[in-house]
Amino acid sequence: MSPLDDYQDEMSRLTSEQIESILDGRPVEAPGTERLEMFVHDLRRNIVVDPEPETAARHVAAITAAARTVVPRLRPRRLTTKLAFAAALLLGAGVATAATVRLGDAPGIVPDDLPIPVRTEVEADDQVSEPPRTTDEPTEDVTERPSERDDEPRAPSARSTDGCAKAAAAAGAASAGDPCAKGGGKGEDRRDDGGPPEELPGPSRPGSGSRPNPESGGSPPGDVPIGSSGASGGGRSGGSGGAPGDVPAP
Amino acid sequence: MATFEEVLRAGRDGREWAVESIYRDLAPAVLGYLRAQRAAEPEDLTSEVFVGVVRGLASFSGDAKSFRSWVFSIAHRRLIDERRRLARSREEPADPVELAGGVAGAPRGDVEDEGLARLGARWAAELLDTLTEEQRTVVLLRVVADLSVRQVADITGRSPGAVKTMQRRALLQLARRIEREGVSG
Repeated sequence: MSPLDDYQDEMSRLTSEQIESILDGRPVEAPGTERLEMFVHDLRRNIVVDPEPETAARHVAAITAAARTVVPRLRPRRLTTKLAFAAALLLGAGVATAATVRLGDAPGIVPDDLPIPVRTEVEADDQVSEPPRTTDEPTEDVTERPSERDDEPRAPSARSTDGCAKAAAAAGAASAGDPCAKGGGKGEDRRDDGGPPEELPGPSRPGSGSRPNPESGGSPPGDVPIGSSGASGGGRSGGSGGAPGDVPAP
Repeated sequence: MATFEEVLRAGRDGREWAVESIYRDLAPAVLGYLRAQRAAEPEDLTSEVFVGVVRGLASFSGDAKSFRSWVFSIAHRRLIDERRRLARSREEPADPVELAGGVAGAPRGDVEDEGLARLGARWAAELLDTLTEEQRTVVLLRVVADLSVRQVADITGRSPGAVKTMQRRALLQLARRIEREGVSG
């Protein structure tokens, strides 16, 4: 085997890192790479040189002249962009102003008890999503009202068709010998109000406390008075509300 | 001293100092690359490259390294255009002797240095001539333009793996040639 073959064999064993080092001009600890390193060094040192001064001056003149011709072409585009941006800003400001003016008018038009429509929607949702029930079924589903405690007195369901009769019976029993009735005041008032018990978190749950209670004389969803919004308590409308026939069908 | 971003911004606005700064910074490598690639008129081509750079400044976005890569991509394209033009008109590319002469023409201030530079440039040019056109392009973009494998791959339209293979073969070829010179000399 000739020395040339040996050399080529050594060179072919160069790793990628060693090749990178040679090309970067860094010394490599490998036999036979000195001349390659010298070649790279010569290439860098003797090829990369400043242009002659006259050539450089000529080039700079040509380049600056080109730059002067390029910039005026760019400026109108920038101006157009700025104008478009300003127009967009003005449009946005106009839309925002219009929206603000409408909102400012709202207190005069919309009543303070704005959540009423929300309440009606919730009830409508309940009616749609829940399956039809018979009168024998339990009127309240615990899963529907997770915040209600078991020991809490439950408001009668609006879906019970004989709810008013039950309420009347309950009222009779209460006036006959209910300890609450004897105690007077609070328990009786509660029944008379027909709203949810005070412990119920009515205002915080639009679906529970705001639900109109037909048995206790609450109005049907369509006739909900403004004062009986979820935020103001469910039973404030008193006992003069809707008739049993107004109860929405299950 | 202005940062790269400041120079770039001023160059986009057509400021003369910025354009000149870009030229002074990159022209030696661009001219060297075009000379080593045996461009017929490397000085004229360099001027064309930088005019193209100035015209395209508005469309460029990136850091200093990618700017350097972008400038050399323009130089490489101009070189290919010139070669096509030459192929149609059948002009001869520059001779390695001219390459060495052009390099030696640069001011160095020392006669001995100039002589060594001339010899070194001549030697390097002769060695480069033993490579294929693609190998030479890869080696010059790596060494003269100081670009990474990925940047060279982007400029030449090859995969990084292909560039690595090409540079390995190029170095092997150069080593073989250098060893042969040593054995024969």
